[in-house]
Amino acid sequence: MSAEAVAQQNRDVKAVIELATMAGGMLLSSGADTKRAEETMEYIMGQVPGGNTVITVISSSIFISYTPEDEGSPVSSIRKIKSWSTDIEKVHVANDVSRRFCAGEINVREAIDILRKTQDKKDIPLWMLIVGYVMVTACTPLFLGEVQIMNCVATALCGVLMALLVYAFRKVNIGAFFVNAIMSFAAVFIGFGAVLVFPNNIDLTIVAATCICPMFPGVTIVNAVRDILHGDYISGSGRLLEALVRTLGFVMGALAGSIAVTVIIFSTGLLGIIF
Amino acid sequence: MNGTTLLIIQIVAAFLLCLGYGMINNIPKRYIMLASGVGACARILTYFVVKPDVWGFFLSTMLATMFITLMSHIFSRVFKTATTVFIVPGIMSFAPGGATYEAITAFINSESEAGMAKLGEVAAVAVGIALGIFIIDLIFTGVANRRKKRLAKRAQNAAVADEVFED
Repeated sequence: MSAEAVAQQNRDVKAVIELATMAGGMLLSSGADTKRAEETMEYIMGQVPGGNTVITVISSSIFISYTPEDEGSPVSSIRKIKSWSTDIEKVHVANDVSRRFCAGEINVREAIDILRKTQDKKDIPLWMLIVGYVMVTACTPLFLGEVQIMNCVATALCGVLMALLVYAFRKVNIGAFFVNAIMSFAAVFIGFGAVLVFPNNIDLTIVAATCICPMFPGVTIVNAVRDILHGDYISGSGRLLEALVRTLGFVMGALAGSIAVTVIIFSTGLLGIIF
Repeated sequence: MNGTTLLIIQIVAAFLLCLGYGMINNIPKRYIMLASGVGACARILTYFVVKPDVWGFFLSTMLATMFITLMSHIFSRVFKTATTVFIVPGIMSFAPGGATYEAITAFINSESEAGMAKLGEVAAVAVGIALGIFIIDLIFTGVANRRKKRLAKRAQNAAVADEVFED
């Protein structure tokens, strides 16, 4: 093989490794489980002829190493996943790009371009967050007890507040624990306000329980159990811990909100007795 | 409110609930209606067929999740996309927020027994969801692996036959 051909092959291998790392990173940071990310990277690296590829994925990092068949110098790539959220569109795009690349429909450069464009895309717009949260919070009370329209109105108001908070906290990186704590505190407080305005029509328990539902780390728990059942105990336990921290966040917020509400009720009752 | 009106409200609410979760989690627009439909069917299933008060929280959630995952695998193969697209709105609608809040209030009121019972309910729902997904995943992965092996063997046989023919 000529020197030019070897150099071209090395460039291609590096590009494929970059593609695999990008796709794996996008999957992990968008809410896919570790096994899916690892499998996708294996499919992509399977397109490199010959050589030996080793891929290791844990919930917060990706490692790839490729050793050429002629035992030349190995090529490695490491990526750290700093933060994650659930964005299924990105999971879909990473999956689609890997499928099309493996089928030979697009080349490695086109695949990398598509992933870069998707990564640079803006987050969900505010209107979509508000509509989504209002739909969730307004419909959940219908499954929690007796159908009461005023409960749905109160929870819809909480939904608007939660969407605004989620949107605002995107810009400030304070961690999921504090975001969940502040959101659940605000939800319990708004629910209490609604109960004060309409004491006979609104159930505070239903309002608070409804507002907790969107904060529940369902996707994290599912991914954790999936990882554990697939034998990846490091990723699984890491994700379980993450779910625990997120849950503790909204539990602490709701707890603080409930205590604040109790103190307000008690102090107003005391003021009533005094005056 | 009569039974039919309530039923219609529940069905529409289940669909809107899953649609809302779809929007929050940024499901691709092309699949959001279908994904919400799958979630709504599962929700209706637990509300009218596999009721938690009859089947228990664990079994009821697990069966509903198995339904969601089965439909997700079928649709992901039809539309060539990830199963997660169809799973997320459905499972998120089973988030045990109510039980979590009741557990918190029980602990605040020093009713630790009631609190532990509610925490057990939360755990049962969470494990039920995960196990439901895992069982169906296992079946589909097993079928896919067998298919892959069969195709590889067929390709190997064809290559051997070609070599013999060329000789």
